[in-house]
Formats: sequence, structure tokens, C-alpha cells
Amino acid sequence: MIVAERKPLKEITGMLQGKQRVLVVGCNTCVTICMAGGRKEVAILASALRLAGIEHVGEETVERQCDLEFLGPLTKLGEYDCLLSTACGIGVQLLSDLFPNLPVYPALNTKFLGVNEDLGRWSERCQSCGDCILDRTGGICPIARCSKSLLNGPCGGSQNGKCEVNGDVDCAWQLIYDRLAARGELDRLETIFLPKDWSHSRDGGPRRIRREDVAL
Amino acid sequence: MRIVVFCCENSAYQAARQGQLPAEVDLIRLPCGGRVEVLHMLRAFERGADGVLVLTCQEDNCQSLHGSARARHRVEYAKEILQEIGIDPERLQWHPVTSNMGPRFRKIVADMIEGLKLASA
Ligand code: SF4
Ligand code: SF4
Repeated sequence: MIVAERKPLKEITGMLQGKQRVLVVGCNTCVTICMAGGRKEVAILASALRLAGIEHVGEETVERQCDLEFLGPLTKLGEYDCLLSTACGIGVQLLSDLFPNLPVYPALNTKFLGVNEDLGRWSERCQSCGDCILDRTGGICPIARCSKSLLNGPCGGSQNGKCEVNGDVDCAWQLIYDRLAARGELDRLETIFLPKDWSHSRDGGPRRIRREDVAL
Repeated sequence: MRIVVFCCENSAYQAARQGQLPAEVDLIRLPCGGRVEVLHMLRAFERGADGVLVLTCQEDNCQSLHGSARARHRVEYAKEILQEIGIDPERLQWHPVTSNMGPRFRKIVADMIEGLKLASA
């Protein structure tokens, strides 16, 4: 899922300066699961904004803010000065496209693509590089989980299974080694990774996908 | 002055019943401390409470195991929100109160009323 985190309230109230009629728009999908911008968080944020002195704060949560199909319920926008989205950056942009005359502000910082490891713990797993290599790395992503995105790790800083960049972080290459060793697949590491073609990632510009079988 | 007191019915609620409640108090009975949510605390302030107390079991003695710890964590989170929007976070407090602690219950409430009076003086 996409993992996000609410911005500090000071930053949010700063964006909303001078606005007295704010509609907070949540999303029922990723940001609900990571407890940053679902219906509950919309209610909490709206309540905090009222307590901070904003006169009229509405609340609306759609199924998926990144999907036009679900933005239909947002119609009575006339009574608001602006929208405050608690979706990821994708939802914020789609709302802005749909309602170009209304300012749409982001209430969250979109952090990463990751997993829910435990109650209240999320961590990064994928950087959507566009050309997945998990088949060769024991299902552990060195792009997202090695601090240096090394393809032929570990680096010389790997210590006792921890990364030299941050001792709280497991060395991804140690994880890869351990997993492949346990599976008896260490020979995979004999093959050197060639430089990755980053044009499939952000280096190739914004990416798109077209499916002619689905398009009309 | 209004003080909303969220009480776990297994502990603080029993303590609350051991004596007269101050007129300022609105008691809310919860099946477990873990039922209280951040939104409940903020709503209490929105509706005019001057102070909010969340009183639950001792953390190692919660019938639902983690209810009391959840309540404390949520209070901490809600206090951060209050701080950020410029409301004194001391207006919201969590305390463990067991069922036989009637005097402690009344002391916590009295201290909060006192603190709020001082703050508004
Ligand atoms: S290799 Fe690329 S697509 Fe696969 S998990 Fe890593 S970043 Fe994501
Ligand atoms: S210690 Fe491991 S995870 Fe950290 S940068 Fe080196 S190879 Fe990558």
C-alpha cells in the first residue's frame, strides 16, 4: 500500500490561513489502512481544525480518491473555500484536476510503498522501479531496502546484519544472502547484476500504462 | 466549568461511585479504557468541556489486556494535537484508577478543577 503520515497541524493551519469553510476529503483505501487519512482521521482532523477556530469544516470520505469513478459524491462544493485532502499525493492531484477553481491542499506527506509490519509500524518495500528483480534477490528488494540501492551488495559497511547508514535498519543484502542460503540458492549471487536500466523508473519521465484491451 | 471524565467501568467507574461527584463532572462509562478514541476526547472539547480525564485500569491489570495502554497512547496522541492547535495539553489527562480508589478519583478530579481555575484566573 501507499503509506502516508499527517503533516504537522501547524503546517496545515498555515496553508488554511484565511479560509473559513474547509471540506476535508478522506480516502477509504491505502491511507485508511495506514491510519493517516481515512474516515476516522478525517473526523479527528476536522475536529482539530474547528478547535483551532475554523468556522465551518465539512467531512467527506470517498472510496478511492485516485479514481475518478469514486469522486462523484463530491458535489455540494459551493459552500467551501477550499478542499483539504487526506489522501496521498495522487488523490490530492486528482481532486485538483477535477475542481480546478478550488484550492486543494495536502494534509498528508506521502512517504512510501510499504507494509504494515506490526501495530503502528510501517516500512518501505518497493520504489516502483518499473523493472522488478525480486525473482533474483530472494523476494527482498535491494532498490528499496538497501540504503544505497546496491545491485551487487553488500557494501563494506554491513555490520552484524545492520546497515551502516542506520543501525536500526537491516542490511538488505544480508537479508538477501540469508534467504538465498536457507533456500540453497546461493549460486544466484554468482551472477553479477549489470547496471540497471533506470529509464523504466523516474529517470524516463512520468510513466504511463495503456491497456488497449481495456480502453474504449 | 465542565469536565468530561471517561471511565472504564471495571475500575475508575466503580471508584467514581464511592462518593459524591463534583457538579462540574460529566461521567462517561466505557466498557474498557480501550474504547475511548482520540475523536471522543476532541469532541468533548468541541462541545465545550474545559477539561477531559481518561481514567482506566492499571496497565498490568486490564481485563482486556491492552485496553488501558491503548487509552494512554491515544491520550498522548490527542495531547499532541491540542498542543499543536494552541490548547494547553494539561486540559487532557490520563490516570490509572483502580475500583477501590475512590479518594484518588476525587483527588484527580479536584486537582484538574483547581488547575483549570488557576489557568483561567
Ligand atoms: S525491484 Fe523495483 S519493482 Fe521490484 S520491489 Fe524493488 S523497487 Fe519495487
Ligand atoms: S550496509 Fe547493507 S543495506 Fe546498508 S548500504 Fe550497505 S549493503 Fe546497503
